[in-house]
Amino acid sequence: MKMMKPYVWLQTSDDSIQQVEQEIAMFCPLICQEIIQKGMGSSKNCAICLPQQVSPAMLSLILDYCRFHQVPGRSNKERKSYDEKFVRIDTERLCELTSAADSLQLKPLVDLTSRALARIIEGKTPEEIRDIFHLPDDLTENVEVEEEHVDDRSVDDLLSFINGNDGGKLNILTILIFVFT
Amino acid sequence: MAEVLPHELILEILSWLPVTSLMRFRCVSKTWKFLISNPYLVKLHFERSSRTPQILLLERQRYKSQCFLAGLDSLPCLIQNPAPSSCGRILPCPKPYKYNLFGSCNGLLSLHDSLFTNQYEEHWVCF
Repeated sequence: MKMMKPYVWLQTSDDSIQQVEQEIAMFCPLICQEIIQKGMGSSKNCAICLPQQVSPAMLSLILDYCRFHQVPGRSNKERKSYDEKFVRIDTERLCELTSAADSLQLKPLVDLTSRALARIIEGKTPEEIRDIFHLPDDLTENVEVEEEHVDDRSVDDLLSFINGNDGGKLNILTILIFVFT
Repeated sequence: MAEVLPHELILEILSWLPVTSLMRFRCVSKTWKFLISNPYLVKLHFERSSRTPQILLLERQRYKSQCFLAGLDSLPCLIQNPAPSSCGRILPCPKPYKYNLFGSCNGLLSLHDSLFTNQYEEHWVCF
């Protein structure tokens, strides 16, 4: 086993190579595996090749996140308020960050960013969602109107379905079922 | 450069959304419609939402009852002011009758009500 070095070499998607504090980079499980299992990153010649999703800008954001959370003894309140500020970036970059964090298997950051994205899109219309995620409008108008599901089972069938096999326990004459969506 | 998120990440995002938004987003695209009906999303969504439990309150008056949903954190407020409308969100019920809680399963509730007159008996079960 090689000696642990305080710095590690990382290569981002634009082929640029940079030196990063090992302690912080190891916060990302993917980088940690490369160092421990494959002994990579110890010099510029054997820099760890990061996934395509990790651009230099995203790496710098991710390292900021790791640097903050790696410090022991911070209170939950401090961490929460840092996280809240951290995800106050535009939607496009938030998507990029989610993707980059996922490729580095940094689950807490994936949770944080996907939750922030959920909050952004929560009240939006389908049209706005298509704009944000660059999705095609491939549902034609008549498909868009949900087909009404007609339940053609008779009341007796429904009763025996609800009562199960031992049946007859409930004396239900009319059953109206509303489904909350 | 537009980032196209893989399906797993779209599922992650969707799993944090309230059910009403999910239902609305079924008509975003074919892929989203498919993803929203994915059983894995149901499982993930349930895991997320069960971490923030809510209490169902039934306020029963003489002729009608109303259902309220309130977060556990609003308990102290409810104890001080027992009117649930002050702290909770009103759950839309089809008819403001006197519902009884019939049963529940994974956050799905079954409410029951009945109406008796001389001519007929009517029972309502709503989910």
